[in-house]
Amino acid sequence: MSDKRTTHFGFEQVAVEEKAQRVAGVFHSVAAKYDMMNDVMSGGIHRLWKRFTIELSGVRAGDKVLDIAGGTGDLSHKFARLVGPEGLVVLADINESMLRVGRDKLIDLGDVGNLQYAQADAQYLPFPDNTFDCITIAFGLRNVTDKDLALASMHRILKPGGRLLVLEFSKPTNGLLEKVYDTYSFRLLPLMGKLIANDSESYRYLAESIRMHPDQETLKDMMSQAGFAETRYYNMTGGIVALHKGVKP
Amino acid sequence: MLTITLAALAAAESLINEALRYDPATRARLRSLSGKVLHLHITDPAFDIYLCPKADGVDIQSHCEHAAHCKISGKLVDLLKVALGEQLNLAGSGVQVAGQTQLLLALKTCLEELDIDWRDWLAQYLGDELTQPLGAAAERLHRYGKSQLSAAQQQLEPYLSEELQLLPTRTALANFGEAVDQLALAADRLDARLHALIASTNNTRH
Repeated sequence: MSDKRTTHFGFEQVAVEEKAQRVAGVFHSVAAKYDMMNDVMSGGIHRLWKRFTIELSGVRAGDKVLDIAGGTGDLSHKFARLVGPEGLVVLADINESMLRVGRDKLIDLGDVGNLQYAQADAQYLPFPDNTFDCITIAFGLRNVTDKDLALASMHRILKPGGRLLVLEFSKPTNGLLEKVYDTYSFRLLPLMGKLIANDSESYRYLAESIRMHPDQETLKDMMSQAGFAETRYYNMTGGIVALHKGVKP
Repeated sequence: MLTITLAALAAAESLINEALRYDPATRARLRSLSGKVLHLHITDPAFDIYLCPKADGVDIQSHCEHAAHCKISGKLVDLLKVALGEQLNLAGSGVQVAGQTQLLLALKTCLEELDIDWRDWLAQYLGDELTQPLGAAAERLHRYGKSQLSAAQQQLEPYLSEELQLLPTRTALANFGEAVDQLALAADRLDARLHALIASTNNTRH
């Protein structure tokens, strides 16, 4: 019997070291049409979820912000405006394709000067201790192989009093909504992926990875275990998405 | 519910900021208030809004992590009356204010002095040649409509009360209100006397 450590990749069990590679493959494939697919799949509601994340971040002029798994830079764009020329926003993503799309988009939007880019693994963040006032990870944590390790890494680089915001798909609070959502995720989502991005498998992974992600209470406990205080979460759109917040004491 | 609130606030913010693009004077006034937070605590229906003026408009948020510089509380109807009315005195308005009232006054002034250049906006789509006559026609129509509305308001009241006698006149209504107040006071006095009489009767029995 093999003693190789495994983890989930959607509903599939894969070797731990294989997951990052498989996830990278998904995002290399969807990077070019990522923004358009987000709008189509969520009906534009992802912008409202991100808007609430910005509101709850409490970021102000002069702050240092890390946007992990920042992808195409929706949050970084807003943060760059909030922190102003005195502040700093670091857009980090493990995936080179996503980072390139995000960087090009932000430069086109005129966000320069207070923005830096880093290709970084959320589990081993390459920043000194107590660096950031706020860290966000939007729709990224579920793709991380070892979530506890990633939360500990974020905790290390946050300043005392700094905030971590985790925006992620979660568990709907209503049974009926859950059924509708399941049908949508497993039938319509791969179909839309096929039609728009010519890639149904990546969007099947998206639906499966959402189901494998910890629910609201579990993630809240994981954040507390990682050392965050005042952990709480806000359900949005019936719990389809939840925003978790924790403060480094 | 949170998603709906966020959608409504995002739509309002987008609309207001788009309009402010065509009013540089108001934008300049808002710029001077940049960094301040006005908390609108609406009690009926219950929800909170945070207005954060900034250099190029205003952010409208459902949640704010920073302490508000001014908090204004009251029913939505009362808040709208104060915002759109001319009076500055909040006594009896059902609206409470805490914190820096200058911020509230400054924002009210911005609202009153809002002067959006709709022609500039229209010119983007129609061009200057078409916008000029259309704008002039719209202004004439607006002036005519305003004068007609004012005349109608002046004539409607006497017509309904004097001609059709469907509504009481203001004086009759005030008299009636006064009579009701007097009756209420008299009833209260009678109630108090009855209580005193019952109490004295009980004392006599003992």
